[in-house]
Amino acid sequence: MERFSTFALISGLFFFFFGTFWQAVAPSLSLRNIPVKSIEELADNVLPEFYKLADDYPVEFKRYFGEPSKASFAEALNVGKAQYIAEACWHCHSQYIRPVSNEELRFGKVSYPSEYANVMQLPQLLGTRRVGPDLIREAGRHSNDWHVAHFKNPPNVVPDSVMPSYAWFFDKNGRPNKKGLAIVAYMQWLGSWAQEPVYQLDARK
Amino acid sequence: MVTRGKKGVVSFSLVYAHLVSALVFLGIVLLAGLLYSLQFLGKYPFPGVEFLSPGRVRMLHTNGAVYGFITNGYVAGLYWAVPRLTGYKVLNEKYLGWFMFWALQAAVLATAVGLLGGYAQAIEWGETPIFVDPFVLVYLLLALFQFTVPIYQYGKERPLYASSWYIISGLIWIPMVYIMGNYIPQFFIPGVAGAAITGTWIHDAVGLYVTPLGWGLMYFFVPVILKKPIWSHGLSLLGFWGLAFFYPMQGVHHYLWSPIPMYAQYAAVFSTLVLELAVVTVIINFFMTMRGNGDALKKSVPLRWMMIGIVNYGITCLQCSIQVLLTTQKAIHFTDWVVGHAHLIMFGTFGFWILGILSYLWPKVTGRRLYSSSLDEWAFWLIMIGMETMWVDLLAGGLVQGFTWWGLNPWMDSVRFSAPLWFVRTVTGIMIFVGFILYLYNFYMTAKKENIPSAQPQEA
Amino acid sequence: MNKREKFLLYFVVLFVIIPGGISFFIKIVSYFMVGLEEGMSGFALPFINYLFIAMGFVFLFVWAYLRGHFEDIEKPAHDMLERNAMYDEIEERGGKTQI
Repeated sequence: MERFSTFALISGLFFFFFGTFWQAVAPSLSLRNIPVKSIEELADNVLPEFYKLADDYPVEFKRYFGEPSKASFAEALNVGKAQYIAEACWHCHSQYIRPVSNEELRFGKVSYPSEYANVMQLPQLLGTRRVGPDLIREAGRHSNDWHVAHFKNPPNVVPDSVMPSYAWFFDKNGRPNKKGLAIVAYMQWLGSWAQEPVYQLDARK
Repeated sequence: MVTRGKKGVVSFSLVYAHLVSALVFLGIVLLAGLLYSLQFLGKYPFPGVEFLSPGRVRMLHTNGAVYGFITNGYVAGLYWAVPRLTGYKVLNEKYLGWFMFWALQAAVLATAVGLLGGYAQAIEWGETPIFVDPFVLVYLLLALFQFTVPIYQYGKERPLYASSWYIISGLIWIPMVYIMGNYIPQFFIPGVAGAAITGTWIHDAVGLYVTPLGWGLMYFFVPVILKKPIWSHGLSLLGFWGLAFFYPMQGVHHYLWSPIPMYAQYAAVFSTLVLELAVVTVIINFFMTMRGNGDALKKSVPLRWMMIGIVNYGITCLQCSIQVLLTTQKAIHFTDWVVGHAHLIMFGTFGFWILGILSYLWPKVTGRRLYSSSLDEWAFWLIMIGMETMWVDLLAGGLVQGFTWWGLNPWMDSVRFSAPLWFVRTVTGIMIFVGFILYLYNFYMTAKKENIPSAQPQEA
Repeated sequence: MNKREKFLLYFVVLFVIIPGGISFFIKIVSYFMVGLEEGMSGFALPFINYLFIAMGFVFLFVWAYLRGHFEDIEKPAHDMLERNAMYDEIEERGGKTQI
């Protein structure tokens, strides 16, 4: 009896820790066949809005990102995501469209798993609360100017908005700084893969 | 039975230190929540200040609540309850105990600075910056040894009481789920599979850490205050093992209708519903213990805090079984409904328990009688009414928002329609804050005033 | 056990417990099979892991049972109160540490 109880204790602890260890290892083993896109792959298609950003804010863009290219787009996406996390945007904006409650009509195509298999969702930014609208189909919905004005003071653009102003995305002259440009690029990127192009500005590519 | 000479087994100074910092952090957390709610009225006092951006203050509010207020409060309770449950001192008071105390305060302060400085991690309930995570983990492991060693020493010879079971399991679970939730989605698994793990962590932080430790302390303090054993110890063990078996599955219910495969979502919904069984056994147990002792509620404010917390727990879990259904989720997901739910469980239940534990232990550890019982009553009723009103108000707000979205109104309609409800929320927040100030003042004066040494500590 | 109870017992075993057990078993097996499918394994495996953790609890439960933790199930509740009262007394006699 004593021996069997020791056996049970040891097996219990073993399964307990094995479960936790397996928890960490198994998903990465099983996901080895599902390609996770790197930032270079994502930035392969430089968006027209990014070129537009370089046109609209030439001095600032040149200072912070140089020329619009794959490398600078990748950098802008990374900085934009970092700002999205640092300002906890994901506490008030979700990043998935549910197949219920008319969300397809409001936002667009329902979310699907493979669009999240990339490093920009590391950690995932699905979100659990919407004070403002969902952002996963945001690309091309508003112009760059709209985003810049909106980040500066949201109620100016959207009356009664409760979104705070992000004054530190702008320099002394009120022009967007690196953070500001990057977050606009990130906004214009979110959902660019799943949306019909609103306008074509791709001639320069 | 082991006694260590004439001295008690409890280190009063450690209990006292943790209680004080729990109170301090509660103040900071309430203030942060109040500030954040002002943003929704368009009256935020620091617009355009980077370090006090509402989004960052919100993270201070939630993380400060878990790591600052609740952890400190629980550890104070553990330093009191574990030695008295077992008859053994904790592993080491003088060095490990005080090191852990300062480590916890340092970790929470580093978290606060990191969050306000923009180094947050995008894991809900785990926004602690990545560089603070290892220290939190070390703290949790030290806490595991600090408190389970005496329980183990006791359990070698005699059967364990329900509290001990809850405390052991909570302390074993939390380092494991902390590693899982804070590192795997951050570095290894992106996207939807990461969301499944994050959901598990969101739920486990509350369900496998805060809940078991809270119940462990309640199974100790409520019978002790009533001077009467728990109604059925067998039922309490049933509740414990039910929690152990059914809790780990249900994290995905935070992302219902998301791209996570539906079978995982169904499993989460199902196990959440099954868990209500365990919850009901626990609640029945406490109410049967209270049976015939209604008077004690009138006399003892600590007991009242605890029992109202248990009532709130029952309400939240009932609400949980309703809101977890996929049909209900269509309307209430993403809305203030969930915010109300979270407030009722984190503050209305666990926060109230800590306030109860604090008002029970404070006169004992300071050796003074309570400064003013009418202040105590005022604080109780203000915070309690504020909390319940806030909950109802946020539920209403959730329904308004959910159906406005569903009805395809313009987005801003949901914000405009919520404005009066958000105003009420701020008012209830002020009520809670004023109640807290009274509470703080009362206990500060209790500790400071020297003239009444209590021969008979205030009890039920 | 009289006739009626016996009938009830057989009825429950035959029509509730056995079919329930079989279908539960089938469900569990198909659940594990989903875990082996290409593409789905990434999602099923984390939950299978949790079954391991639950297994850990089964064994801990067995351990607790074998060590006699559930023999006199109400005793610990009374023990706890007695011990607590003893410490209250000790502390009132002045054994407490000063703050």
